[in-house]
Amino acid sequence: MKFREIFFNKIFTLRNLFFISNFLVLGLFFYALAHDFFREWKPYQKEYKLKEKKRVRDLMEKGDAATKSGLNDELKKAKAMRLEIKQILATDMNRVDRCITCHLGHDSFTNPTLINDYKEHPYAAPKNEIHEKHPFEKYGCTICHEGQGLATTFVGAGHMPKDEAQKKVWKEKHDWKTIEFWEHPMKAGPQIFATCSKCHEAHPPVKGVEIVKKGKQLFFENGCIGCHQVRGEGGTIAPDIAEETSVKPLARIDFGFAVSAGLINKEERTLENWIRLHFTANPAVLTPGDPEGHLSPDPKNPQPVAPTAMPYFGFNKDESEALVAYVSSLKREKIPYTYRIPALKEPEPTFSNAVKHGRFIFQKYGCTGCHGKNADQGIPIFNKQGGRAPDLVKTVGTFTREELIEKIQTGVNPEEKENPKGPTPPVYMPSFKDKIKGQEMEHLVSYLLSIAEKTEEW
Amino acid sequence: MKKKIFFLVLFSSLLFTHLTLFSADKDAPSSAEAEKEKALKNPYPNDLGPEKIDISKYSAELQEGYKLMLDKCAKCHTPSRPLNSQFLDLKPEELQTLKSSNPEIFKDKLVWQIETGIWQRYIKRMMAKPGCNINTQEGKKIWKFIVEDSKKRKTGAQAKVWAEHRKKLLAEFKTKYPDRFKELFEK
Repeated sequence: MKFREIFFNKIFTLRNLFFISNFLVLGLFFYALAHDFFREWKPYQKEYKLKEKKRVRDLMEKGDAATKSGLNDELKKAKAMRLEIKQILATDMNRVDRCITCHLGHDSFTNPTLINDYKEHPYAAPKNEIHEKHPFEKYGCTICHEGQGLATTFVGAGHMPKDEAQKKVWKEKHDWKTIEFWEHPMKAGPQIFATCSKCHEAHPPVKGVEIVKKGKQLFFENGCIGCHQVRGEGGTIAPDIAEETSVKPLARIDFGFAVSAGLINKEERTLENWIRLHFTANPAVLTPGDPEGHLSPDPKNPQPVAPTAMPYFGFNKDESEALVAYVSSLKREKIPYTYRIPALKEPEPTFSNAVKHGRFIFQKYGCTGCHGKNADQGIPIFNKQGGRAPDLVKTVGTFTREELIEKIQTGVNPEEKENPKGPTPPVYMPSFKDKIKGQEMEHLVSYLLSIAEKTEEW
Repeated sequence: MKKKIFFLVLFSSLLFTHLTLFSADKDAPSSAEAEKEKALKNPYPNDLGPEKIDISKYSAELQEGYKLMLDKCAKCHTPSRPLNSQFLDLKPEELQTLKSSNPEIFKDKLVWQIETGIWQRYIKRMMAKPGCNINTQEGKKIWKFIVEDSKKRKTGAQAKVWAEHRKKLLAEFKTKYPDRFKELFEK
């Protein structure tokens, strides 16, 4: 008998196939059982259950008979704890958060007082003023902490380390990495306070929120508003940091240059890091444009693109973190209006004289962004004639009051190119005709003329 | 042999590409040329006037200022722009004297724009422009020439000739560049 005949008549028969597939299905069944049995969250629940039983037993041992009988119910409850996925349905927040599957001390059903003696994560109860005012069963977790509420694994939840040391520990313990393209990784360290303004738009006077306020102040002092807008108010040269930057989808961010320059690695491609890099590195490295037009669709008609206009401000670590927190705090979500505390328009400070008020106006409209904090250091501008914005202290003295007003009202758009074949300079002096008027304009000009460098009178 | 030809062709094409790019860079105008181009794109009536004047009767110092003006200012705009300008820079006492002796001269600002320090302001403003290579000494010499030349050619016995010349430039400018005329003078 030939092998072919043996194979088809004796081995590859319907009956044998039926047996094999039965074993395969059985194997799959056991695999599913094992997979479910060894869920990542189960050891946490088992550990918590043991801790709870031990805690109650210790109390019972120390207590008298009355205490013992009183604690009996608690012990029964601890013993009856089932290993299960736990979740909070925060419907108003549009969230289903399963964080309490591991963070059992945070579950107000398991631990109604939100108090326990456990020190280590994830068992330690988080009783504090903020949590007290924002019960988990109503708000959930991810509305403030961000992360992936539905996840039941450490990595899937979008945990983010607060520093390199924690990252190292997590990599060893949890094989930690970021979830590629997950838009809302968890907030780490003080950055958590950026999310308060989803509801508290005016930044509440709560410990921790200072970082956001500091960022807002830096944003004002450095004239970012001269180019950027915040919800439609500000310059029109760069993106609206509230409507665009703070909610920018990761798919729209080109991390390529930052990764190839070694500024971040692939794991660190998050929106928060993208924002951070603009303060810690030279933004022109992140967005170098195409100054030679090499990437133009028609090589015969190159269309050069200038690098980003944003200069390198040289912020230190604390300043950068504060700015990241402020920009992130501008993110808004669909939250019912009853939860939101809108920010009232802050009254402008008063000033003792026109020059001081003029200096405030200089900052208010973001002139500092291009001309420097003291109007003495113009930022570099790619392919602009002379290569930088004017140092106003040197130039304003050559204008009369009227000429200066006209210049501010008209602006310079577009700026002349240094190399006519190169890209259009990415920044121009906008027209402030419709923005700075009346007393504001008069006082601004008074300030500018007051800082003009004194030159030899001919 | 084939290998040699390949490398020869490769080398020649690299050389050609380099030369093409290098010559393209050379073609790119300098900052001053770009400024000049901009100035010509946005003309003034002054630009239609002569680019040179007779300075034979001027002092040596003024002649030096004139030469500097031709050399330095002409990097960014034609010399006719300052030479045919309506600006007249007088000291306060000179201004008062002129007001009483010739009040008519103050009526048409397009022909005579008389202000104390106007030339000084403009020259210093140009000097503050990025890429301008006029130092303070040179600027001062140019300023001296322009101020004195303005007085000589726009006032006194020359006032009538100047008015005719300037009005002719304005008329010609209005015909040639009606939109620009409107933008500058009829806003």
